Amino acid sequence: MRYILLVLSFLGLFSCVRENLIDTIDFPKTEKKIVVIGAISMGDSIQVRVSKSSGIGELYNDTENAVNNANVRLINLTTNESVELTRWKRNSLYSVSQKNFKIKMAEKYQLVINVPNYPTIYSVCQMPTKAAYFESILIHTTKNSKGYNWYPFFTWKDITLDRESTGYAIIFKAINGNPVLSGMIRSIQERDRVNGICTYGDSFFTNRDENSGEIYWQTFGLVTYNDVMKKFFQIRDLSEDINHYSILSDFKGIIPEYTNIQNGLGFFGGYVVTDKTVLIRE
Amino acid sequence: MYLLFFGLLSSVFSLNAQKKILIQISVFDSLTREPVEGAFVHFTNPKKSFSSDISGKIKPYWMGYYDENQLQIKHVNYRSFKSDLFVLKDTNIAIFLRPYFSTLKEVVVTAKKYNEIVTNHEMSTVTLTAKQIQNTPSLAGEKDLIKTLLLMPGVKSETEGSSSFNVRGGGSDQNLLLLNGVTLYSSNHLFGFLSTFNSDIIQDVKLIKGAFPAQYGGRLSSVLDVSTKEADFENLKISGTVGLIASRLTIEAPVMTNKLSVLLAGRRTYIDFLFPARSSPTEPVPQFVFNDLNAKISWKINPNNKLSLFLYSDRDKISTPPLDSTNIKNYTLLWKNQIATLAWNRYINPNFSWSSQGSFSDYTMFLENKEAKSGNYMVDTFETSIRDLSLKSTLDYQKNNFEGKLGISYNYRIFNPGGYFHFDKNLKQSVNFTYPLNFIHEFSFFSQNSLQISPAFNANLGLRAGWYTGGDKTYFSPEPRVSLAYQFNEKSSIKTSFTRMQQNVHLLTNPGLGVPMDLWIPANNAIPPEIANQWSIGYFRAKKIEGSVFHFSAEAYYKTMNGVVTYKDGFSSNDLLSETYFKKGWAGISSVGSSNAYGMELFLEKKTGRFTGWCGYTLSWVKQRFADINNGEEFYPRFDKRHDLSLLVNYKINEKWSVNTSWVYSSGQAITLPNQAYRPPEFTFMKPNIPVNEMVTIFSTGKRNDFRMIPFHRLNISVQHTKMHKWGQGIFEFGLYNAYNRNNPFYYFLDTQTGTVKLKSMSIFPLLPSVSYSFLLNTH
Repeated sequence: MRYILLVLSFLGLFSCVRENLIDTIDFPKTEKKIVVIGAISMGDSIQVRVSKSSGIGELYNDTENAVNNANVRLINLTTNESVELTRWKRNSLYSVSQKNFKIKMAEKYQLVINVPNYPTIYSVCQMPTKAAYFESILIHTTKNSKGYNWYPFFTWKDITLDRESTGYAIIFKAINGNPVLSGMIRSIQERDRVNGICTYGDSFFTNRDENSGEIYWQTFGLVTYNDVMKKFFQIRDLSEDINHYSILSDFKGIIPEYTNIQNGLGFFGGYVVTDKTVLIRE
Repeated sequence: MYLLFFGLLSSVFSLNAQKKILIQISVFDSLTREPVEGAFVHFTNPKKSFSSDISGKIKPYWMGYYDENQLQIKHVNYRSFKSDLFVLKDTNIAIFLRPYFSTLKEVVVTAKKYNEIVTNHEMSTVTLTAKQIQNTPSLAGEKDLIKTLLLMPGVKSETEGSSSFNVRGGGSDQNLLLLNGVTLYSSNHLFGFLSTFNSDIIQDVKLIKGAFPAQYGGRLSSVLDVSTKEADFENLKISGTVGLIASRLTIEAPVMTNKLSVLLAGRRTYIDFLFPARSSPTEPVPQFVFNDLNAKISWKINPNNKLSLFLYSDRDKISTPPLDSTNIKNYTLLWKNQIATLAWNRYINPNFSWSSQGSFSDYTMFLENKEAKSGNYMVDTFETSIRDLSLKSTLDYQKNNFEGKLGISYNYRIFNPGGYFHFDKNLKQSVNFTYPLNFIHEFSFFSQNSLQISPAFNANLGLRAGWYTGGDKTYFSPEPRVSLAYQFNEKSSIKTSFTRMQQNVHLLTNPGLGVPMDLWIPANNAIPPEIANQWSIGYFRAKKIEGSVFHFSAEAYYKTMNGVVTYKDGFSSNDLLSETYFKKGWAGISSVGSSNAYGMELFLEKKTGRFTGWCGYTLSWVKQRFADINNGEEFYPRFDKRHDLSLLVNYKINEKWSVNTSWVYSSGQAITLPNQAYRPPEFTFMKPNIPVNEMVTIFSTGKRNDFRMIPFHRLNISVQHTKMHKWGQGIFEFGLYNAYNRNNPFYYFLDTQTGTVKLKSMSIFPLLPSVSYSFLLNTH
C-alpha cells in the first residue's frame, strides 16, 4: 500500500507533460541583400521591384525596406538595346512602358541594377520560345436560387513535354473594367497539369447574384511562364506555410533558397499569355 | 536448469593439437557475483570430484578430446547445477549458481576473462547482457536495448527518445537489424520511442560498428545482431512486467523435458485504453496502439542436432475517430513486421559444425486519409511493403591455430514500392496509381578466416562476394574484410581493420520526426547501391585494481560512403500521398550523394564490484554532399554531433536495493534555419500592376544545416527493490527521466503569432517519473 501511495504522490507531483517554449535563441546574423522581383511580358508595362531583405525577427516594413535610389537598366541581349527603368510613385517599384522598348518572345534580357553600397546586381531572363493555346472552352451553366453558376471546361495545347522548365496558368481577363466572372482555379491546375483538360472540379466561376438575363463575352488567358518563374512560384507557395521552417513539424522537407539574381535575392522571369473569348448565356 | 549465469570462456591457452583438454571451473554467486567456496564439483568422464576454494576455483581437470562428459555442481545454499559438457579446446568455465531464493533473469554472461577486451580479435564491437539492459534507467520505465546501446560511444540517437540510431556517421537506414538472424526493416514502436525488441527474452546483443565479419552484409554502418533465448527445457517459467504504458508476459514451457520447449512472449500497450480516441469539436484526437509477439520452439533432436522455429509479429497503428456520424475525418497509419524462421544447428565433429536457416519476413506500411462530409466522400490510401525469403548456410571450422566460417546466402525480395488510390465522390475523380512490383535476387558467398600467426599476432581475413539483380541491372560486390590484432602483453593490445560494405536497399525517411513513414527502395538502374569503406584502429587495455576489473579502449575511424540517398529539397513522405511521387518516381523525389565520417571513441568500463558502469565519449564529424542539395556544397547532416558523452553507473546497495543512473551530453544537432526574409508580389497574372499589400513572406534559408541547436544533456535515475515472496520474486522499480528537468529542444519552430518572427524551441520530455513491476513466478 505504501508503494502505491508513494507512486501516486510522485505521479501527482510530476506527471504533467507541458510545452516549454524558449524565446532566447538568437538567429544567426547575416548581411542584408538586395531583393529583385521582376516578371516581364509582352504588352504590359515593364516593372521591377527593388527592396532590401530583413533579418529574421526584424519587422518587415515595405517603406523601410524599399530601395528608392537604385539605377535599373534592362538590356535586350539579342539586339543590345537597353532602357532605364524609372522609379514609379510606389515605393521600390521601377517601370517603363513598352512603347519604346518591346519585350519579345524567345529573346534574352539582362537586368543590371546598381544600388549605392551594394555590389552590382545582374540577372538574365530567357522569354518563353512558344506559347500554349486554348483548343476549346465549353461553359456548363446551372441555376440556383441565388443566380447562375458557370463551370468552364478547358482543353489546351501544351508546348513542351519538359515539365521541369515550363509552367501554365489559366486566368480570366477583365473586359471594360471588372471581369464578368469571379471565382477560383485550383492551384494544382496552375502548377502541374500537362496538356490539361480543366474540368468541372478544377474551377468554379459564378455570376453576380441578380438574374439579369444578359449575354456576356468572357476572355480567358492561358499563361506560359519560364522555368525561373515556375521554380520561384513553387518556393513561394511552400513559403506560405511557415511550418516548412519548423525542421520537424509536419515532416516536410527543407525548402531551399532559390534565386537567379546574382549578388541578391528574388527572381527575374518572363511569361506570355494567349487569349480566347467565349460567349456566356444565362 | 538452475543456472543463472552460465558463461563459457573460450580463451585458447594453446592452439596446438593435443589429446587432452584442460577444464578450469570457477563458481560464483549469481546475485553478488562473489566466488562461492565449498561447492561440490563432479565430472562423470573421467569421474572426478573437487571442492571450490575461496576464490571459487577448482583444481585443473583434464578430459579426453572426443569424450562425452557431464558436469554437476552442488552447494548447500544454492540450487544444483547439471549440464552436459561439450568443449573443443582448453576452456575456462564460469558457473553462476542461483541461491535458493530465486532471481528474475537468466542470462548468458558474455564477459569471460578479465582481459577479454585485449585477447579477443574483435574491435568496434559492443556486447550487452540482459542485465545491463534491465539496469539502464529509461523513458517510462520501458527497458529497451536500443536505449542502452545509445550510451555507447559511436552510437547516437536521431532525436530524444527515438529508437532510430546513427553509428559512426551513418544514417539510421544503414543499420542492419537482425532478430535471430532475420532482417527487420523497422524497429519502431510508438513513433520510435520504443523499439520492437522485447527486453525480457533477449539473450545476446551484439552491435558491430566496424571490422565487420564476412558473414554480415547488406548495410553500411552497423550490424545489430539480437538473439532471443530459448525456453527452459525442464521447468515451466512465467515472468512479466507491468509498466506505465505497456506490459509484457513471457511463458517458457518444456513440452518434452530436455527435448522440446516453447517460449511465448507478448507485449501490448494500454495507451489506447488510458487515452481512447475521441473527437474534439474541430479535430479528432488520435489513438495509438502497438503490440508484439515472439514465439520460439526449440527441439533438441539429439546431442548433435537442434532445430528451432521462431515466429515474430509486431504492429503499430495510429488512427483518428470520426468527428460525428455525418462528419468523418479519419486518418490511419499502420506499420507491421512479421517473421518466420526455421534454423537447424548440427555439431559434426570437434572441428566442424554447421548451421542453416530459412526465413520469411514481411514489412508493410499503410496510410489512409478519409473524409466524408455533407454527402461528399474522399479517400486517399498508400501502401508499401517488402517481402523477403532468405536461405543461409554456414560451416564453422577450426583446427590448430586456424578457425573460420564459410557460407552462402540467398535472398529473394519482393518490393512493393507503393500503390496510391484516390477517390473523390463530389468531383467524380478516381485515381489509382500502382508501381510495378520489383523482384530482387541477392546471392552472397562469404569466407572468414582467423589465423594465429604468432602468440601475439592474429590476422582475420574475410571476403564477402555478392551478386544483386534489381530490374535490368546486376551489381557485383566484392567486399574485403581484414582485421589485424597485436597483443603487447596480457594487459594491452592494438587492433586495426579495413572493411567494405555494400547496401542494395535505400531508405527514404523524413527529414523530421521519427514517424516511420519510411519508403524502402531497391537499387536499380537509376539509383546504384551504397558502398562504404571503413578504416579503424584501436588501443585496448584491461587492468585489475583492488580486485575490480577495468576495460579501456580508444578507437579512431574514417569512413567514406557513396550512393547515399535522401529526399530532394522540399520533398518528404507527404508526397507519398500525392500524384507527385507517381509522376516523378523515386529518382524524381530523391537525390544520390556521398558522405564521409571520421572520429574517435573512448570507452572506460568498470565490470565488477558493487559499482559497475561505463563512461563513453565520441568526437566525430560527418559531412554529406548531394549534387542538387545545398547547391552541391558539402553540409553536416542533422545527426552530426561533435561531442557525445555518456555515463552509466549501477550501484548495488544490498541484496534488495540497487540504484542506476545515466547521464548523457551531446552537442546540438545541425539544422537549417532561415536567415533573411523578403516579400515578393503576389503574381496572379490577372492584375496589370504589381500589388503591394497582397504579399507573402519568403524566408531565405542560406546554407543547409548551418545552425546548431543548443546542447543536449539529461540525467536519468532508477531505484530497484527486489523482494522474495512465497510465489516467487518481484522487482519494483521507480524511475525519474530527465531528473533535473532540463528543457532539451525536441525541435525548433518559427513563431509568428506576435506579428514578428521568433525562434522557439519545443521540449516534450520534462521530468517524468515512472514505475514498473517485474515478477517471476515459482512453478517448481
